[in-house]
Amino acid sequence: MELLNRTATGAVRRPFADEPVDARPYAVQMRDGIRLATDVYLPERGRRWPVVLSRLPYDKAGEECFMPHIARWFTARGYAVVVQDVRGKLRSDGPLAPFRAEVADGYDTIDWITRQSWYGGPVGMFGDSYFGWTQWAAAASGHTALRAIAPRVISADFADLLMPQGVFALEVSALWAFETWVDEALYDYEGRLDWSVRPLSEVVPTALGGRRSPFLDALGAGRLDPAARLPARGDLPALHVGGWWDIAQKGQLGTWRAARTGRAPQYLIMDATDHGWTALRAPGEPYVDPRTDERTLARFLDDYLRPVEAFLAGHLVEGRAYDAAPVRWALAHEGWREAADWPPPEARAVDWHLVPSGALAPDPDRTERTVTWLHDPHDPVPGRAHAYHPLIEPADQGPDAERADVLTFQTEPFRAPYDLAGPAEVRLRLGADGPSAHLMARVSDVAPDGTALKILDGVAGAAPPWPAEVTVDLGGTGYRLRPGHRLRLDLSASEFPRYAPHPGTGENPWTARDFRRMEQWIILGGVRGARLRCHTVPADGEGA
Amino acid sequence: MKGFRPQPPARTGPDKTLSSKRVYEELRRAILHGEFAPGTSLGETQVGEMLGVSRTPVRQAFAELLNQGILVEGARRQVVIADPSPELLDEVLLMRDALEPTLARRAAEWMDVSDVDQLRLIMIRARRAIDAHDMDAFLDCDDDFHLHIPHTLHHLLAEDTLRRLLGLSRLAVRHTEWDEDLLRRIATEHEEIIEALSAGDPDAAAAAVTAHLASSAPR
Repeated sequence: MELLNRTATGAVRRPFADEPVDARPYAVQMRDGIRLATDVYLPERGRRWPVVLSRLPYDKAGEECFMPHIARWFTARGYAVVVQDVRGKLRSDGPLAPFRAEVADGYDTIDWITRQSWYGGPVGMFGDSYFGWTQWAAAASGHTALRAIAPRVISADFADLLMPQGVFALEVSALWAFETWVDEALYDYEGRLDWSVRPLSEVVPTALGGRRSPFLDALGAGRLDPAARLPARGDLPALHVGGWWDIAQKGQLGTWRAARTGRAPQYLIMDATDHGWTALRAPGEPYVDPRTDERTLARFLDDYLRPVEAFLAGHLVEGRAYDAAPVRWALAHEGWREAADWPPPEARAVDWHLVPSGALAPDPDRTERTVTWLHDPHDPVPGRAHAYHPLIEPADQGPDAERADVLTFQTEPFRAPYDLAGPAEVRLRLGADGPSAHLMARVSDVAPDGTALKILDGVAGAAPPWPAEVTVDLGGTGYRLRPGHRLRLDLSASEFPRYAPHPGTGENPWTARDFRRMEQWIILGGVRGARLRCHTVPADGEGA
Repeated sequence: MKGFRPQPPARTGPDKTLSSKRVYEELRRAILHGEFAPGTSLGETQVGEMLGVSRTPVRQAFAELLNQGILVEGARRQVVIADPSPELLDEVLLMRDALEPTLARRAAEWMDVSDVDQLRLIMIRARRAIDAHDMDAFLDCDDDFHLHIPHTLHHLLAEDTLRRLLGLSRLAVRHTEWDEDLLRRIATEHEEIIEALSAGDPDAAAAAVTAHLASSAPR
């Protein structure tokens, strides 16, 4: 008897969740006749309510996103909740249409909501990741009943995640496509992909018994649907919620900044969390899955949804006002801070110079030198962090320093707390004996025992004439380096499978079959030497 | 690209919490999907090992499946998968003809938009099953479709009776050949029933069900 639905090669198709008894299912018709599976949850008391809407491809009734629990949390507070499987996913009709259909489907769904007998209005949206992005899509549709959105851990422009600075984010793209964009089902991806398959374009089809994800194939070939690149609409109030360890944080900060040029308020909350809701923990503190038991889940839902509800209420519920600082940010290991802007106005830019001895120093060497290393596409630098949830089991980046193809630079141990607050970037000049090159930069906190926790990272592609001027955007952080800790910068030409390794030739890494080792070099010292620029704020007790 | 951990932490070992209802559902599904050869006799220990449960829920599931006529007692008192006779299947059709148009008539007056939409959602799954050449998935949708009507009416006796009748029909068709034209015709007839229910037209709903039973019932 077959209890699991497996394809020949082991991809596990997740069964659709059972419909919760308190949800009313609908098949809402879109303008082209396609019907989308939609659950409606109504409060026990009252007749008409403001509405919270979420549109997702991950099963509106499933365990993973626990929308039924979220819906009950909101209905208990006087909202009608509408949760929808997006087009082509789970129970919703139509072919798969990542990105393309979401603007019109968002509009039509909101329009359907406004015609229901229980509609008190207006509509707000909430959700993470792709169901954060469907909020930007609904916002772009311009439906006037939509009055507030609260996108979490997502950018309005998906290129920020999938093609950061022109480099293909292989691992997250492949895992996401494998899980989500093959057919209407969801496939468990944990440990399912064999990354030794070449060309890389065949990794996912191998796990699927030959089936392919058209979305992934297009992406690997460098074609992201333009529909995935939405502008951030600034005339709709938005609460932007992100995490310093989130894969989407750079893009999200960019989206927030762009939306701020509009006339509606744009609030920012940045927590010490990853793309899930995993928080940075003190050493030795175990990870607790919020779904462990009902009490843990209830506490988690309160923490997760209270800030969202306060914001939505201020824009959807008569008599409720929203009064919050424009920016609330976590200083990791320390606590919450408020600011009028990001970076905080008191933040100062600081340059750390890379010197050949392996130090990050306040001043550069006077003489210009080059440092050379060998990029071997057959033996790329291994990625250590989980693609989505690096904070569940934080990886020790310490061993990277032992590889000859990782350049490492670190500060002396700090004697007092050193607080990072704001964006960071690496600027350098890069050369290679190939037609183009990749550069990965990673900033870590090195503890006195030598273990290293990644704080920030980034990637950039570069092309001749060599040396090319390269700026690697590392995003932003709020992070306290405690006394005795050091700041470390690692540079490499690969991080696999996180990014598709450069083949050393002019071929697309996605389809490449031939690989060539390639020398890369950077310039240290002198007026154009490599440096790490970050922002710091004075630590408590140091005075302003 | 999501906010949440991909899957809950894996359970270790057999699922001891699998209730007798789940064992019953799982076993019923496996039998109707033709996962056992006709005439196979089933043992409590064997099925318990397959599902990773003790013999008690298996015994309860056997009792229910015997009651439904999906299992029968063999000559040596072992439990065997039933092989319904043509006479019994003929009676199944007779009873469905008597029961289902009446239910549809009442449903047309009773069903709200969500009730009807749930039938549409079943048909989205059914159309996908045809595209995927998945006969079992299609027939599961077919059962869901027919049972949804008494279920919506809260007519539990009718729902229970119809489930029993559908189970016997399924036993008879579980090894039939793939016939895409037939399945597409069934889907179209279901959609005609949906339109009649959606319009709140009792006569049209009863007529659509009668026509459907006459046209697509197994012969």
